[in-house]
Amino acid sequence: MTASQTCHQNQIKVSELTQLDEIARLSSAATAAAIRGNRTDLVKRLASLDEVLDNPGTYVAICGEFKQGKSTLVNTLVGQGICPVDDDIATAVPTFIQWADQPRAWVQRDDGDQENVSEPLDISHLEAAIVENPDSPDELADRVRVAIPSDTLQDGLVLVDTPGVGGLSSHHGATTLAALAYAEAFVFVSDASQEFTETELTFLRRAITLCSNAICVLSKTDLHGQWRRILDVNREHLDRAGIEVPIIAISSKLQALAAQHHDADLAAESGFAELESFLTNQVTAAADAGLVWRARTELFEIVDLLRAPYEAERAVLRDPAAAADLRRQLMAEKERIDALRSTAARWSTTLSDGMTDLTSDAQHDLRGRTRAITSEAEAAIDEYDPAAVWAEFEPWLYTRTSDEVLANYTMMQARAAELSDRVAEHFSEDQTGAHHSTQSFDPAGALGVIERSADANFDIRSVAAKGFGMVRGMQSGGFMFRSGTSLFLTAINPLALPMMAATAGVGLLMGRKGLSEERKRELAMSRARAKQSVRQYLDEVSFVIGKDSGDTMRRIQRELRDHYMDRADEMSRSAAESMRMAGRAVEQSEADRVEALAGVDAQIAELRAMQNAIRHVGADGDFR
Amino acid sequence: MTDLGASAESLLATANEVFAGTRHDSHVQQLQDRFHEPLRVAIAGKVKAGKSTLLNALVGSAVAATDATECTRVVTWYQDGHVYRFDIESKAGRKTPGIFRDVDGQVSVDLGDHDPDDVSRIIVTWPSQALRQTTLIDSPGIGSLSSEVSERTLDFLTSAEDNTPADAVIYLMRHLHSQDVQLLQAFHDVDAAQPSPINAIAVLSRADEVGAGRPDAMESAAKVAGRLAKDPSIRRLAQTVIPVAGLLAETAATLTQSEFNDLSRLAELPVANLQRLLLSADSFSGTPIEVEVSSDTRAELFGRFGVFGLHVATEALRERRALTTASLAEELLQISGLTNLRTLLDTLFVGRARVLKSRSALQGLVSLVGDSEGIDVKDLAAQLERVLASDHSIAELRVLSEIRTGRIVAKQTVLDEMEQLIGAQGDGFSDRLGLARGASNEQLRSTAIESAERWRRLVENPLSSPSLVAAGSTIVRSCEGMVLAVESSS
Repeated sequence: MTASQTCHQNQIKVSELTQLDEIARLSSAATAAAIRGNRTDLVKRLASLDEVLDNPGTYVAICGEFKQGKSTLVNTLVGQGICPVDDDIATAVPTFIQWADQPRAWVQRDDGDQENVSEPLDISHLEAAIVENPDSPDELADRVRVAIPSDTLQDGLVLVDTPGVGGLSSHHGATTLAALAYAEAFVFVSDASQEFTETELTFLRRAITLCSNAICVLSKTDLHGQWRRILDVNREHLDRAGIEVPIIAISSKLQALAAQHHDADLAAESGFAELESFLTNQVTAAADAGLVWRARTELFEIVDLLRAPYEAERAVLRDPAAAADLRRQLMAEKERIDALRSTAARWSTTLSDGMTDLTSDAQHDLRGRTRAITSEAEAAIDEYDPAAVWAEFEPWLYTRTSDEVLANYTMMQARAAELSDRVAEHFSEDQTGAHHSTQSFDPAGALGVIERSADANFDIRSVAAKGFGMVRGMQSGGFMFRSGTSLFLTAINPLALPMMAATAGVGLLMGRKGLSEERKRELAMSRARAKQSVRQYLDEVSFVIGKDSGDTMRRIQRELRDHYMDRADEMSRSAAESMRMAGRAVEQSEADRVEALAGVDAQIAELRAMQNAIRHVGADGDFR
Repeated sequence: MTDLGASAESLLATANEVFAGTRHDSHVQQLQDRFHEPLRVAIAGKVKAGKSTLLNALVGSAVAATDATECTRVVTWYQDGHVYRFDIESKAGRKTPGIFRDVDGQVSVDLGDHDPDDVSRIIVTWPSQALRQTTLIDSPGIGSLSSEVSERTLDFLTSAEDNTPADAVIYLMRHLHSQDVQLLQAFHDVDAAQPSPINAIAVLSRADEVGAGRPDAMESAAKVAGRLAKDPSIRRLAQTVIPVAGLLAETAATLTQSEFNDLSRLAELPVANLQRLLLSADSFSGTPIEVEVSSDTRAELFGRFGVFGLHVATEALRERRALTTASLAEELLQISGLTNLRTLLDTLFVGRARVLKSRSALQGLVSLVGDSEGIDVKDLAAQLERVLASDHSIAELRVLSEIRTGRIVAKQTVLDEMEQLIGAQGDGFSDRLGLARGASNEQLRSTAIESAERWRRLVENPLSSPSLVAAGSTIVRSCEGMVLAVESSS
């Protein structure tokens, strides 16, 4: 990276940080206004927004093949030996490492249907919880969370050390892929001993479609004198595959030594500066920008709700003769808004109908997929002797199944997000006209065309963004990590299949020719048993996934309904408040009115100024 | 006990008559020729496993080109001969002599105008002691990003006219996880000789990288290899797994006097300085040092030895364990695990070459008999069936394969003893009976009698599982055979 680039990125970083600060400042100003207006509902909503602003939680997954130095890389980044590193034993549980002022750790297991169970863990016993244990694979947790004081993590970065066990093409690989959908970015680690393999490139190609913010890291450059050539060759491979991801060379060992001895030369040689700059500039900054955008839309909407009653009051104060008219108008609005709160509201119907459709579609989709696997598996069983190929067949079956399950979830997630959008649209249609602050919105000439077209969708996007975030959050909670464990441990026991006579070597030589009737019968039996096992397994998969997705759908529906109901309540309260204010204004004497008008004008001016400020935060890098 | 080799030879002779003048004429001739040629050992494994490097180490000279990126692109046979030459064999079976090129001290074969897709194999003739008893076959690995290279390997593996190109296989694998799908894919590389614990050993290659080049890297690798060797899915495909630091082995086998001199100079550096130097590839070649070894030379040394190799070589020189080029080479071969691999190849492959070659010949005949429409093969088929059913060497191999695939139900110690008695740890009588080499005939005889009686009791025990009884009968015969052989020789 050239000096000018670094400089440019640093500038961006500075402005993003101030934007976050600015949004936080505006949020507390809005909170003060909400308290003044006695709007407890909006105060609560602002508090939850503040919480998100305080703990952004930017997830970065570290992935790659087995034994490429992922855990070492994570340890080096946080400057502490958190993830166990061993020549042979490998990481088996996804490990989340985040910031805290005191080190602590806890393990999480997904038990039952709803909440995942967390239990605290002594940080000195981390290793036993994270690494594989061949004797008791079932006892592993679903994920381990570690919180430590580390400068790298202070800005909300959460590093996820993924297990490389089983290889990228196994079902663990599919689980890692699924997790990527919720990560802000991922770091793909491959060591300098060898150029990219086919499996690695296939993984990258799929990963990039789920999470486009990525970087490739060529690790262990201290060990391999030829790393520059491998770097070039890998770059060519990426080019040829059309994967636009930067690739950098690093040495964790040198960086660790550099930190230990405060050796600037070693630090420069380690190549970590580039990785760290990627994490701060491209990851944390991008995540902050997204956060700023979402917070901005939400804040704007809240201030709108705060302003509405004052606008009503002002209208009456200015022209008391029109009070009766306005009252009627407000009444009609209130009715419309109250209709939104009833279960018969259009958005509510759309939501429940959509969810019913989605649930049945998801089940149908899953059935279609398992059916396809069944027929493929049976074709394979018919072609080969199951006893001879079982060792290869079984992992194939798991991988294939995870892929399909992942595709099923991806489909569901996309559809749920789409549904949330549709609900939001209804909502804003019903709302149009009800909310006259939208009409009195000042289309300041300073705003460009693009900005205006964005404003037209302001409400929808805010409501939908929140709804979509909910969909994402829901899925990452239960589902995918679980499918990596409980589901696949219910796998078929290969020993249940009798080992038939013809396997390898001389057995094959003997068997090929003199396949007696008896052997044919045995083969047919073993095939029938294998098919039965496959069906049983897929049946189990359909059952578990079907239940899981059904539960998730219900949860999403509940959350979305609550979300939109809250919005309706807020609007209703604003409308009621407007009517109350308008009523109060009518009763006032001529003299009081002038004084009151000045007060209300001041309030409105303040809120408008706030909205103007909100609109400008993050709208343009040059603001200020 | 009849000799399997003799049976195979007579069967081949019969086949020669039966198929004379038919479409299989040349195939029988090939089988016959092959039976008298050295044992064919294929070196197989995924791409970049270090196959060519290991081949060079075994041959003792840089005969196969190696590189940091994917290198071997065509199947290459290395055989002994009187002169250095190589021939390119096209898919049509036409052989054209090729020209060796010397590129940076590495021998490289120049395909000239030949399209790699049209070349079926390259045959390198190289006068070498190591190739006298075995012909080595190097193949491009599977998993290459250039799919046409993988395809060429598949072509080789599934070539129809020579259905078992190799008699034995060395599988190379890099550090893998036992649950790894790729672990088994590593073995897919070779239908060359159907995967079987009889004729295959697995090598954990690039073993020094397992422990990140630390001085104790090989111990770490030995632990990993030990764990892999116990894995059931590997046990049914290979006899054992041993670690080999291929790069160091290759360098040790081709160590030069000037390298020895350079290393000696580096070994004079204070230990702390040398450690600092060995931190990384770049610092090793780039840091200015007090002794006279130029930056370029150091970069070359790093490429030849790797971090681990440089650590152990300078240590051996500093502690004066090695005083000459030859003794340093010896020491490094030992450390790299190559000495161990050679011993293993001698006991498991070369020592049983006749049985393995007979097995390949019989396999070849079986497939010819299966494709014999219009030719009268009744007598040949009957003879073949008889040899396959009754020959004791084949019965032993079958038992070994059954043990490894988990089809014999018995305690592990019993299974281990069985493996030993049928020669899985070495074909000599002393190896089979678990006695020291050079044990007296009397010792051999009494131990064999004792084993035979113990196994007979086990076979007659009504509580023994049926699978154990069937295999046990073969063991009893093995023991009795040894008793007879020892008695007749004394």
